[in-house]
Amino acid sequence: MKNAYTPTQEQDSLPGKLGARFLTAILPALTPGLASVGRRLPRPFVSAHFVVALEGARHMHWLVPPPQLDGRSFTIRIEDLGLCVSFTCRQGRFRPLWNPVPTTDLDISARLADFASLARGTTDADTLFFQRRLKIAGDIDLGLIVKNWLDAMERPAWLTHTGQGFGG
Amino acid sequence: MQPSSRTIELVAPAGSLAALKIALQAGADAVYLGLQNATNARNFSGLNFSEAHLRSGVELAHHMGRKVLFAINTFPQAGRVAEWRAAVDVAHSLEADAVIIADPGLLAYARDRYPDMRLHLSVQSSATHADAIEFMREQFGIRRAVLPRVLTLAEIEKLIRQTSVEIEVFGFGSLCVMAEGRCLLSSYATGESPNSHGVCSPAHAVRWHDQDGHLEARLNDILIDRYAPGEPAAYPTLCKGRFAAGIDRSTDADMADHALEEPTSLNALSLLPRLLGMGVSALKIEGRQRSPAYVGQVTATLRAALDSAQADPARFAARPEWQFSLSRHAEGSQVTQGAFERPWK
Repeated sequence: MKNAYTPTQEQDSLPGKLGARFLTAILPALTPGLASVGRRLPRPFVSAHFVVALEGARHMHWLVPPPQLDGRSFTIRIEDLGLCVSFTCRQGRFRPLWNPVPTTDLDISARLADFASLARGTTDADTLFFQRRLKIAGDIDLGLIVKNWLDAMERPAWLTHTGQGFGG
Repeated sequence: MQPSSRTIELVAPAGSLAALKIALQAGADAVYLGLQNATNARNFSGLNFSEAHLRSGVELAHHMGRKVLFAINTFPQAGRVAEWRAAVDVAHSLEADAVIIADPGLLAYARDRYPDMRLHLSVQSSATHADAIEFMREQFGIRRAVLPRVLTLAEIEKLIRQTSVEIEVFGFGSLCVMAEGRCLLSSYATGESPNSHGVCSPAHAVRWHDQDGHLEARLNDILIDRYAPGEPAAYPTLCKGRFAAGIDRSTDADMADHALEEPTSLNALSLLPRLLGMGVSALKIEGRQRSPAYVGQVTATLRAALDSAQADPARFAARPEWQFSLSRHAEGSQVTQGAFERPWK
């Protein structure tokens, strides 16, 4: 008999424990408050902070965008927080869109928990799509490139095991 | 307890190196995969393997004592046969354990060029009876045939008795209505079909539009479905679309319904002891386009179920948690045993 796959011990690492506590205990409690604040925040302000996180991940070599993303624009909407970020990718780097255009090349919407489970690689994007929990509009070919790029990424173990039980 | 003397090879999909790794971790005996071009039937943007990733994947699988099956299962297009032959060359150079081929010309190339290469007859070749499979064995030396999802268990059992070729069947994944290997439906809307370009609905032709929760799916600007708020969605293929398929006599209004088929997923979990007993050699999971999370969860579930069925087929029962794990990944709102169970046949 072959073993079914099981989580490694790395979920017990410090980043894993902190991440799990943040996602399972702290964030759900903060969501209603964050949503009321989120809807009032200007998009460029939110986008700038989001891009800082993307760039951090890129510097850590966790998130290296493929060449097909170059020059393309993206919008991500976190529905339950009322947050909307717009950014682009230029010469392999993420940049916020300071003057967001009405439509970007790709527009992706979901709740925070579903985005979190996609980021951790614990949920299948097609499954979320079938269940209408993930919405995608714009250039679907670009959407597939993004999806398959994220799917193919090797995630740090602490991220994969962070916050299990929160959002699938 | 009466363990079965037979085993079924569990064949998992891999659209990336990450999916391959998780499939092997989850207990797949073999993975099937393809190159980043039209030589395989999941030719999606950003999906599939570069040669470097293929090499790593084959090395890892062999290190773990598992197999890599190389899908070259579309039909070579006129004037472009060299691309398909090159894929066979790559599979051989990387020491893939078998190639999965549908086209007779490509099978002949593989047999002549690499006589020791193990050949599997793809589901796309639509071989549904022993004469067809034996013919392909005699001509090309195929060692395994993947059966189209149109046969009942009784028909599969009879077929297995009539051929020495190993038989592989689908155990889980999205179903489609096509006579496998013969579908040109999407080419009417997009000019491309799975057999020529490796994709049913090319992404460049797909558009989703969500307005107040109502989701419209368009293929090359043809409206193929409109989902109500909260209603499960499906892949944007013509065969699964809803069209004006009749008239409501009470209102004289068009009734939108599935003209060809309702999105449905195959689930053969409860049939495992019977598949084992009749001598099915391999069980395939559909879904190279799905995320590693799907591959890991479905493979682990079927691994556990197969191990249980092999340990004691007579007392096997499909556990609710296995069914739950599989059903939440299903396309459409229902799962089915497909053609396996057809009491009227």
